Parts: sequence; structure tokens; C-alpha cells
Amino acid sequence: MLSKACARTIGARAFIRPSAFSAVRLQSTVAANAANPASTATPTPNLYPDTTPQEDTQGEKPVLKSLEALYQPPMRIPVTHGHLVADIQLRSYEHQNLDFFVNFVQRAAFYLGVPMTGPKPLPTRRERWTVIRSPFVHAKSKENFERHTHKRLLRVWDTNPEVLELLVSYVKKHSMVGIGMKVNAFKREPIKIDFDKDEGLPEGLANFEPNTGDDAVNAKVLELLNSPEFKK
Amino acid sequence: MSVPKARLLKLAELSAKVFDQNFNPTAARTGAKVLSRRLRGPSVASYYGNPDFLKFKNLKTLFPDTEFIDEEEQYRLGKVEGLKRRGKGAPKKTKKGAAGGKSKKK
Amino acid sequence: MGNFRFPVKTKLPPGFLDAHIIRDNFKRQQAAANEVMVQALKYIARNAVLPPKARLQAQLQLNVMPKYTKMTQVKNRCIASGSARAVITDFRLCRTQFREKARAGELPGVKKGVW
Repeated sequence: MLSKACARTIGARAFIRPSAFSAVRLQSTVAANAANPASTATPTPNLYPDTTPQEDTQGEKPVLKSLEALYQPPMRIPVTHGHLVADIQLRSYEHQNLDFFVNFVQRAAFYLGVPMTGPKPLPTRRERWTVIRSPFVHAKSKENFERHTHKRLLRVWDTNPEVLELLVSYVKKHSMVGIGMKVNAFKREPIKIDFDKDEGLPEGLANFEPNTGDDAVNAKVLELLNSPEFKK
Repeated sequence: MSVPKARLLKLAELSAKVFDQNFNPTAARTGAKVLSRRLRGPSVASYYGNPDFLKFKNLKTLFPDTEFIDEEEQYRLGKVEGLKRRGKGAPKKTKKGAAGGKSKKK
Repeated sequence: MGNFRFPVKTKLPPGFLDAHIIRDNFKRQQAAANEVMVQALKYIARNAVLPPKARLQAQLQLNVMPKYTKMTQVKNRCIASGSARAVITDFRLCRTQFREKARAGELPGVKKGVW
């Protein structure tokens, strides 16, 4: 347990890095997966089940498999190593749009080659308010209001941080109105500090500021205690 | 099979050191409660919204070439105009200002 | 604007304005600006490990600071009507404004409750 430490980054903001690099990666990955799935070396044998139409029997125009897949439930890439990389939580007040968007995220993950599980429906948050109907007296007559927050959890496995970044920025780019997203990315690192030697924090943690407000109060306390008024 | 108290204390101290917690066996008042509290300043100050939010009157200075119509102001002016036409408008100001209103009451 | 009625000049917030809101906004800005100082002084005053003289000095300084620098002076008010009663914190609206806005569909996701 102690040999591994988990650094946790909350919020998708950390992942946005607009660059030409992302665009190039996206295209190349999609092309490799969509055009010729059988020849790719990725360990995804049963990606395309029997749903694709037989081209010879009908004599119709051949339909792109990726296009045909739009009418099927989103395909998945199986989890092989079981390394949880990120939790993606999507929230909305309406479940129709939410389910549609979850579907979109799943497809995007598939074409990026990202193993993803879910969507796991998390408990719906129900907020309720009861207010008096009238602006003045008549407090016996009230009115109820409520708001439901629907949540879905998608989990990303066995993925490079760069690809995850790409996925998140792509999803953010095509985000829908009224749907919020929260990404918890997990990073594994060995512990390198020897607490008994008192070497100080390593470089990554030394610059890390957990709560700048706290530090401001700390600094103020020191400043006050060292001021001449307090030294008397 | 009882563990001596000193040993348990030592364990608590080490655990506090490892997990970066305060070790305070005598429960002395150190004021840590004040220090560990989250600062509420930013959220409290932004309760009524951003004071630099654009107002209608700023539009004219920002875009001097464009004409803007303030619908609410137009509505108010129209109402005042209608009142005046019906003879229900505000009374005209006397030269002495507020004195006119008071003298009438006498 | 001529004379400003509060000791420190503060920008007026957007939206609905009345005397109560202007006053409360002033207190909020001041409480936020002085929060670090107040917390530091409180910490020194409450810390029994520090020398008594420093603690006394801190408490004296705390007492000298004006009332409007304290968080306890802040009151949640309705941002649409200025009312200080029955304010729903989630929306910063009082009950009547909340009801009107909810019925008009101006609060996202809020519907008539049926259960």
C-alpha cells in the first residue's frame, strides 16, 4: 500500500492544451481504426460483430463500417490491465441529453482506442424546496419545487495521460449545453522521500500549493509575531 | 497482554508525523481550529456578482459609432409622455424648489 | 457622486440595488479584504502556547478593528429584491422571487415538485 501514492487532479481544466499535435493524433488514430480494423495490431478481436451487412448478397453500395456502427450501441475496447486512469462524471438536470452525450463520449473513446467502462448511473440528487405561495401571510398554502441532478460515471482504463488529455479536450470541444463534466485523473508514483532523514519535499510536491489562503494566514501570523508591537 | 501507554503515545506521535497531522496529547489550545478553517473571502465578496459587469451606459462609450436602444428606458419615457398628455405628469418645479410644496399645505 | 457614505469606497454591484444591498455589499468587500488579518490575529489570540503578552496584543488589535471587517456582519440577501428573509441560498433569492422565477422557467432544472 505504502509503496504507491496517488496524486489526484480534479477538474478537466488541467487537461486542455490546444495544439496541432492533438489534431494530428486524432486523425491518424481514427483512420487506422475505422478504415481497416482487421489489420490493426490492437488486441480487439471482436470489435465488429455480425451486425455489418453482407455486401455481396444485396449488391448495394458498400456502407462504411464506422457509419453502420452509428446504428448500433457504442462499441467498447476491453480492459486488459485493469489500471484505472480516470473517472469521468457527467451531470445534467435532464437525462435525455445526458444519455445522448454519454453515448457520444463512449464512441469517441472507442475510436481513440481508449478502454472505457460504464455508464454507471449514480444516485440522482433530488433537491426540493417548499415555499409559501403568497407574498404576504396565507402561509397555509404552499408550493413545491424540485430539481433532479442526474449523474453518469464513465471509467477510463489502461490509457496514456496524453491520450486521456486528447479524449477530454475532444469531449470538451463538442460539449453540449446543460451538461457538466468532472474528470478525476489518477496518477501512480512511487514514494521517494525518506521521512527519517528530513530531506525536504521532492520537486513536484515542493511547488504544490494545497491552499493558498492557508498560506496567506500563516505568513500573516509570522509577520505579526515578528513585528515590534508583539515583541515588546 | 496490555500495551503500555507510553508505547501507544509514541505510536500516535509517529502516525501523526507520517500523515502530517497535529500531535497534541495534552489537548492544549493551539488555535489550530482557526488556522485550518477555509477562507470564505472570495465567495462572500462575489455574492452580488461582478461589479465590472457591463452596463447599458457603458455600451455607448465602448462603441461610439453604434446606436443602442434601451427598451426599458424607452418604455419609461413613453409612460411619462402619456401621463403628461393626460395632465397627470409631475408638477413643474418652482423657483424656490421645495418651498412651493410646503407653502400650499399651510 | 459626491461624498461616499461608507468609510471605504466600493464599487456598486450589478443588478437590483437598494440601501440594504449597498450596505451589505460594502461589508462583504471589507470582510473579504480583512479576512487574512482577522484570522491571523484570532489564531494568535486563541493559541495558549504563545506568550500571554502577544495574545493580549492580538486581542486588543482585533477589538480595535471596525465592525465591518468581521464575517459575522454579513447577511445573505435576495439579489433580486433585497429582502433579507426567507432567502434560498442555492439561488440567492427570497421565496417570492424564487417562486416567480421558477414558474417562469428561469431557473434551470427547477420544476413543479410532484412526488
